[in-house]
Amino acid sequence: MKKVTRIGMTLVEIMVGISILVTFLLPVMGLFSMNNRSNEFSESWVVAMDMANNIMERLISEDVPFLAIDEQGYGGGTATLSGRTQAEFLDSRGSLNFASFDLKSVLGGNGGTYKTDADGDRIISRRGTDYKILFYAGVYKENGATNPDTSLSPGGGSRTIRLKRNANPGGELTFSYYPNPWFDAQNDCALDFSASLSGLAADSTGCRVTNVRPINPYKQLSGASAGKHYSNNASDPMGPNYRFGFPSPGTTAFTDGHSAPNNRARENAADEILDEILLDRPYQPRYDDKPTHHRHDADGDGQDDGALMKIVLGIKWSPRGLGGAGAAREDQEFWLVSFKANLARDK
Amino acid sequence: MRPSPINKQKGFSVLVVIMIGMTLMAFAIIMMQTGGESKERVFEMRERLQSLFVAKGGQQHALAKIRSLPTQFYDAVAYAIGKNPYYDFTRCLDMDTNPGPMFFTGTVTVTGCPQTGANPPPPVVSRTGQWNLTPQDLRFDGPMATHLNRFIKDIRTSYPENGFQKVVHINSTAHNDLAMGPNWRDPFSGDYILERIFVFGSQGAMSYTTESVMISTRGYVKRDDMISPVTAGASSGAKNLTRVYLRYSTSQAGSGFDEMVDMQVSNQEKFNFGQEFDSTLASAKRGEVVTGVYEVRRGDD
Repeated sequence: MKKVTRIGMTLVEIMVGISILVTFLLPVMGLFSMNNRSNEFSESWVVAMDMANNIMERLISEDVPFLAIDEQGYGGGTATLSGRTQAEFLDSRGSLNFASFDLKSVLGGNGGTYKTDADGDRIISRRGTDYKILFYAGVYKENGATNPDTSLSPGGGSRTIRLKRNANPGGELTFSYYPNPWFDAQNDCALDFSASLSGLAADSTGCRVTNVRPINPYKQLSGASAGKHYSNNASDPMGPNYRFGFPSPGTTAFTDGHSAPNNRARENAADEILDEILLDRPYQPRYDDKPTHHRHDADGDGQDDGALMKIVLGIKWSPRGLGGAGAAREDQEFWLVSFKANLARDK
Repeated sequence: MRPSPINKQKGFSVLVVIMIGMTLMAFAIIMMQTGGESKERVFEMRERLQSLFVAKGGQQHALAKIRSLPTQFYDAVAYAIGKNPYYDFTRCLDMDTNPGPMFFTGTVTVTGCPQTGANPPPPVVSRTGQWNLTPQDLRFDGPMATHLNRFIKDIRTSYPENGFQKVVHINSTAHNDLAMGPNWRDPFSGDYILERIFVFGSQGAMSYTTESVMISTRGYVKRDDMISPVTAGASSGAKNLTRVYLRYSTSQAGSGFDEMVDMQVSNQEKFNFGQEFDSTLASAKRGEVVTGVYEVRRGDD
């Protein structure tokens, strides 16, 4: 009779096996746990960045009108360390109405009301975590205190975006440009058409014969050639009797929209030879560097609305779970900075 | 009768347990590595997003200026490609007031208008030789692009230069910000600049009222000196938000690995991301580019 031997699974063997398994499993469980916490942490960051991206995209787009943002209009909530309060959306500004834009939904509010926490900050809850939205804004406006331009008045006329022409590059946002295209009174000349066309010959400077003729940007305001689009070469085109700006044919309007004569004395800007000019060129174009300020007043309060807005957006949250050594995780913050242009026109 | 060797199964379960345990350990290590890489990606995404919005801010700045000075911008663009922005197709060629569509880049004879005066209208005024488009002009870097380059020069942060107070800037140190007020600190330091402008018009093109331009702005964000504008730090000042990602830390406490710390990089084993970050921490910055295509025309007057 064959004897059956049952060997291989003694109690001792089982005990040893279990102890070995526990020895492996304990650190593995620890690694799994840490990985889980790490994934939760990363996920909270991804949610925060996605939230910030969506909010900022809408803020700088035309979905949110520039003038609908009140830079420090939000009562309550977290102020910055420098004391700046948060921005808020306006329902109206002057004659402009923004109620239909549903702007408060940009920051996660429902039905026009914000969900706020105990600090008064606006929050969005995702997957059991409250994300605090911190929204700060500031506008680059005309520096009227030190460099006002009293010649500009808001409202009226056909242009409501006006240029303050003596802007201060160090004290306000300026937009500079060269206005005079390729006309040099030293090298080029224009023809005085007060004389008859027939029998016209070279004038005393020979400019008609020897020099090719560029576009003449000047219009003579007075004298025998008043209303003509060129000078008689004897006078300085930049003098008070001339103005630049290409004329619209058949009208007395000028392309820069200005009604008063514009000359060097009024602009208070001498021609500057800047380092961009290629001095090895035989032709020396004439440049007037014009720093202007975009002055816009859509709400008619007599103040500049500003051309550019800085937006600082922060998301603050407390991640779930514990960190290293079983300690609670510290609050996390994610910040974005961007800018928004005022592209509105009143008319 | 001796038992068959195949019947000797003593201790086999121990071997099985060991194998299972090692397999589990391998899985755990792989998961840990994957988790570490995902966190690395999260920090890269953070930097990219911050730089991207700084660059978008540059685009907005460009739009603000173009909106304010459309005529000047269009004229500058037209000159840059050798076009006369003032040529009026509804009027006859006139050597003084309407000298033709292309006046810097060659000659074009326009016929069809009645001749007046003793001298017939000449061909389009041209400046031959030095005024043909140079290779620099073709890159929008020559004399023809002078007006255009002046127009875009101040579309940037940290302007004006040469000792003036900067108007638009992003700075995490306390400063008088013309938009945000005195003693303001941005959450990080950064810059944007209008890096490149490209005009799609070509010599001989017949569009004289509009042009298409491509504007590229680049935004930079510095990796160090990131602070919180709202949270005070342990000592006076703002909370430091400069993050250094460390997969391993020399200061292991409790179960071991600290995922995120505010500390100097000091551990011996670093990954490529950490090494680059550490060696160039003070000046390292990430840049992103945003490009937009716009149609420009002379403004309403």
